[in-house]
Amino acid sequence: MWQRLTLTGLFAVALLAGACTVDPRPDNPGGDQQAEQQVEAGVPQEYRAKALAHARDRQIDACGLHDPAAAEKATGDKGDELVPGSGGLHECDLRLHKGEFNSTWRFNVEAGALFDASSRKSAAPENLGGLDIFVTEHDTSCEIAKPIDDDYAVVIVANAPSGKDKPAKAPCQVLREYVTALAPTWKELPKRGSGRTTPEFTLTRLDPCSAAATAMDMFAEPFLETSNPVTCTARSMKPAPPQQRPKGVGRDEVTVTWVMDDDPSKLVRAGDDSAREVTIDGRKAVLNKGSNGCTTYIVWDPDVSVVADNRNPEDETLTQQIRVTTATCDNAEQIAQKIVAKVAGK
Amino acid sequence: MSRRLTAVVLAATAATALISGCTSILPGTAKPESASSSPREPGTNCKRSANPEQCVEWVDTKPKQGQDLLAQSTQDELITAYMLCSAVPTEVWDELLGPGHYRFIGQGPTCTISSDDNRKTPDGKFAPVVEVEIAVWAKDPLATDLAILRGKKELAENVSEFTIAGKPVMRYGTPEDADGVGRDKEELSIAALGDVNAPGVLRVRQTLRAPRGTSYDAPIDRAPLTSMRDVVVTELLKVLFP
Repeated sequence: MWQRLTLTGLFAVALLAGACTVDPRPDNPGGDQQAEQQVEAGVPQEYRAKALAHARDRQIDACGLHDPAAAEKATGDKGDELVPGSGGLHECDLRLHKGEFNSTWRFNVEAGALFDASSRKSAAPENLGGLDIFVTEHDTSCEIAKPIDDDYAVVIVANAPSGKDKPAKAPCQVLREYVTALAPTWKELPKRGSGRTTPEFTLTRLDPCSAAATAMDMFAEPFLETSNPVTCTARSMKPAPPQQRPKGVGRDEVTVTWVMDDDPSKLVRAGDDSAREVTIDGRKAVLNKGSNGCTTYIVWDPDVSVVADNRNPEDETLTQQIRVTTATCDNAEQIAQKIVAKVAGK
Repeated sequence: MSRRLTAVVLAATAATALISGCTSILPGTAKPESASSSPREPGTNCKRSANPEQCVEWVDTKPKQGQDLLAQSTQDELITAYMLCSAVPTEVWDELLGPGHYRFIGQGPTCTISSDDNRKTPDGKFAPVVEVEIAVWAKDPLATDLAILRGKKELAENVSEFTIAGKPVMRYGTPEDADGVGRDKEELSIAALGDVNAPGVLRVRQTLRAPRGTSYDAPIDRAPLTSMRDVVVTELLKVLFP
């Protein structure tokens, strides 16, 4: 059954009062330590610090970093929906609108974005609501980063409405107001499972590297590397010599990402053999040939889905999916089977 | 591409990238033993660098001159970088970059001197930032760089030659380096001893970047860069290669 992703209540009604209330239940004591200790053995020393940071940031409830009521106040528009990013479950979009066919502002949050000394050097330091942040202004968007440590941050980007209606406020003015309102919440970044948002996306309890590790035996001198809190890649220390790859063949590596996406069956079309549907351990999966390799979408939990468009709630729903990219589709199903078995704990 | 051409292109890359501090293509030891007592941990200035983990704090060191400095650079790159950073006195940098400038040894044996990136304009906005990077290369003459870069049409069109303080200078710059958008550069290689065929090149890259918090494609006024370019090189030559 689909549902709206909410902050402690119905999005359109109760979130105004409830959004800023963090569930008073204490976080799992020692939970962070546990996460820190669970770096996959295949992650080499040089990437372990990054993997630790990503494991920590995977615990942040990206959608819980939003407050739709505050966004409505800052923009003057109406809240539309919270949508976990299809780029990965460490991202979450909040969309707003003025009317039925008039989408306006979009706020994208990324938890655990790379934000190192070089980024800090070029962004402008400010304090909003007691929060030390960095601002970068663009023509039609604005970016604010709240560092988590020396190298990573929560980054929020406000994208102004496109089209002929110029918004009354500049993107950075809107975002400053929004982040000022978010400051009390961002001082203690909300954790997944704290109840701040429902439903909980249980895939994020797992380390994508433990899934990617199942593909290590494909490579000579294999290793694992995370690229964000929900993505891990298995590849070889001994890359093949540079050569022109045939069209449709991707890099010789296996990448696993936890995402929210719509029904992958939509990729399967009559008369087009680029996508095919299979069942893996009772779960729907679609293998899709692309110009840069093969992407397999495995629906992890069809019973938990969220609305991607409140104005079209039955057609646009998203589910938690395991996205696996491989060089070709030739062995993608076998790789997906191993990954699902691992993630399912079999 | 033939093997020979590959080697030449790599050499050109090394030549032009030397100033950027790409240690992976530099010969020699980046952090020699003789500098072991120098501060390695990021300190006040390194914390403000783009890469604190690779950065070494500057130590004020009386510079050697001419051939002695070139010889020094083949023996001890870090000490040489200290010397390059120490060549021009604070008062001169104050005039060129404004008060609050700071120096550090960035990635590789390159001295970096930056204007205060927290400096604000009278209207309370962050000011543009100017960075000067300085390095010396003792092993080849400027003629080698010129031959490599002039030898390829797409590189040659970015090369110009002139003199500063009587010494031959090669400027390498793409149109984007001088378009007044986001980040502009003046990248100069100077025949340190005055002869393009004599080994010894002083490299000075001056970068102007948009104020903190502004977009990479924000318009910038490159006038400060244009006006200070020759002055910086003249000041450095005065001390290092009189």
